[in-house]
Amino acid sequence: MFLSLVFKEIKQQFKSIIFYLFIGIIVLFYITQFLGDVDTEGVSKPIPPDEYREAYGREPYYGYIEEEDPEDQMNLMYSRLIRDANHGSVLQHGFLMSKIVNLSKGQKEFMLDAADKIIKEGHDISNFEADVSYKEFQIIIEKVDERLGGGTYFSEEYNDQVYRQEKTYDQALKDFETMISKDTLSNAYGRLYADYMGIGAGFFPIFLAAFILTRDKRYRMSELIYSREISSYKYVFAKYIALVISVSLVYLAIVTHATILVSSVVKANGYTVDYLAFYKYTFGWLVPTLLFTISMGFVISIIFGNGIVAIPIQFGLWISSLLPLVGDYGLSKFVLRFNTVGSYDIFKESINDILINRILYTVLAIILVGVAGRILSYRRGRQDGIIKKRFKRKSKEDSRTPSLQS
Amino acid sequence: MLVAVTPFLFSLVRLEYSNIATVGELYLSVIGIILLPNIINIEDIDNIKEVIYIRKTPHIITTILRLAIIIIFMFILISSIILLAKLQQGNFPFWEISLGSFISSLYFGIIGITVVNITKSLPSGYLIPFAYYAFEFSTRGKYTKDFFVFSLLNESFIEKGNLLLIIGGLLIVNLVIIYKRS
Repeated sequence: MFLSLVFKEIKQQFKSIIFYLFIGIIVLFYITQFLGDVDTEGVSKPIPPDEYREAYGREPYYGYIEEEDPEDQMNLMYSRLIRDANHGSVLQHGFLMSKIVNLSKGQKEFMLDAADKIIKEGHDISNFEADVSYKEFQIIIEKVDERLGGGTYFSEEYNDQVYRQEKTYDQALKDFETMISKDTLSNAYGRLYADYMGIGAGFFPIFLAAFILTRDKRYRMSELIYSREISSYKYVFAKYIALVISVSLVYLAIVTHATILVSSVVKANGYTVDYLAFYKYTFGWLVPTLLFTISMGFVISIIFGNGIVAIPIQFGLWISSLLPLVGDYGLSKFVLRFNTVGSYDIFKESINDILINRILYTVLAIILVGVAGRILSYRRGRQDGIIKKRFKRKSKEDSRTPSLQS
Repeated sequence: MLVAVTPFLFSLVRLEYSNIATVGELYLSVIGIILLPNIINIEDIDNIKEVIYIRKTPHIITTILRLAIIIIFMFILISSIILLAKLQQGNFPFWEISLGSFISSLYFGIIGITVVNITKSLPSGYLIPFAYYAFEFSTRGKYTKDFFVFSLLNESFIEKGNLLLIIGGLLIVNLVIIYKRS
């Protein structure tokens, strides 16, 4: 019965207009976001600065690298401190959302005092020489974060967003060669693909998921379904698996196109192709986001008895997960961003965080679907139809027992 | 609820034009998507449309009144947040931001109404405006140019006039559809 319910729900999805609208939107996302970034003319090696200026009419930008030298870190953080104090605002990361907070006069003065402690002679950013040790510097910066209410770039949690330097041409070339030899272009584009498609996967499936369980109520089928023998958990999981399969089929079709396209470009340029790269990132990186989004739709719609409520809630979570573009793989992010081609070193450093994050969201998704099943079982009545089953079994036994009066 | 949590999600103190434009365009504009698409198919939900259509009061009048109430309510919600920011030492033109954010919100809402009217599917009426929102958010007017919904982010109000024309046109189309249907 479970499998037949799954297949019925898949059929139902493929008959639904909103499913085809969903496909259209995901395909549009793929075309406008990912395909726009794939250079089908050839694979772009970093070009020397003079050629870059001539070609684009601006200073070259080769991406950034993490800064590990303590002196350079102090320089970067000091610049940030002065810049934010003069600008009068800081970005504050919250649990769900990051917000720009305007500084009070007291906070600005505190920041400038902190800067005075780091360089006692004045605020000349161009000639940085700290008057404190690295450890003292860390304490000063931590106090700034506390004064600003926490969650700023001055905190240990987020200071990696500051400790970055723009790559030079030589560093960019070295990274490109590392990408070709250790990472492969397929993997680099695979991560970019997962980045762009993850944006859509973090929000649009909610429109399919949020209205599945409330559909029974809408078509006045609840009483009929509640009277059936199937357990609520099986019922909810069947619908969940059906929707996950339906949506995954869409992503599978798109990832196949992406694999063919990128592989042909990579092969044409004489580099190694990894035909499984895109599939790896789709299943490992993207699917947990899908699982979580769909499970949120299920659980919120069943709690409120209304699918509409799930949309703004998921929207809020989605917006809070979209930034930064690279580098934050903490547990509060269900959409993982890696909006760059290459940067293998950042990926290598973050791999453990990414794995933990993906496993967590997969487990969380299953738990949420279980919660939805539990709530449905309460809605159906006590003990989820077990009493009905007991009566049914009893009545079968009675019919076999011969009557004492005959 | 969306509006009530705004002061907790964003700092509304000492905001400049670009800060409040972000709040208005990217956050408050969602109000239109949430409030408007639903009002078109209320009679379909409990299948009472046949009963409603035969009443003496033309259904189109009820729809227009419903729209007017919701639109006024939307404007009050959006402008109340903008006013709160203005009163907390905000440095921006109040009416430009309020009207600009309201027009964005109304635009998304009218698109939702149009989709529900055509497809008779409420989830579609939410999906399409949100997809449009995500599209504009990620492409920043690259494809829509003079019809860029979040134009206040570029400190431009001109595009809002173009959006108003589309809103007016879609409103008329939707009312004609509802009139013919009833």
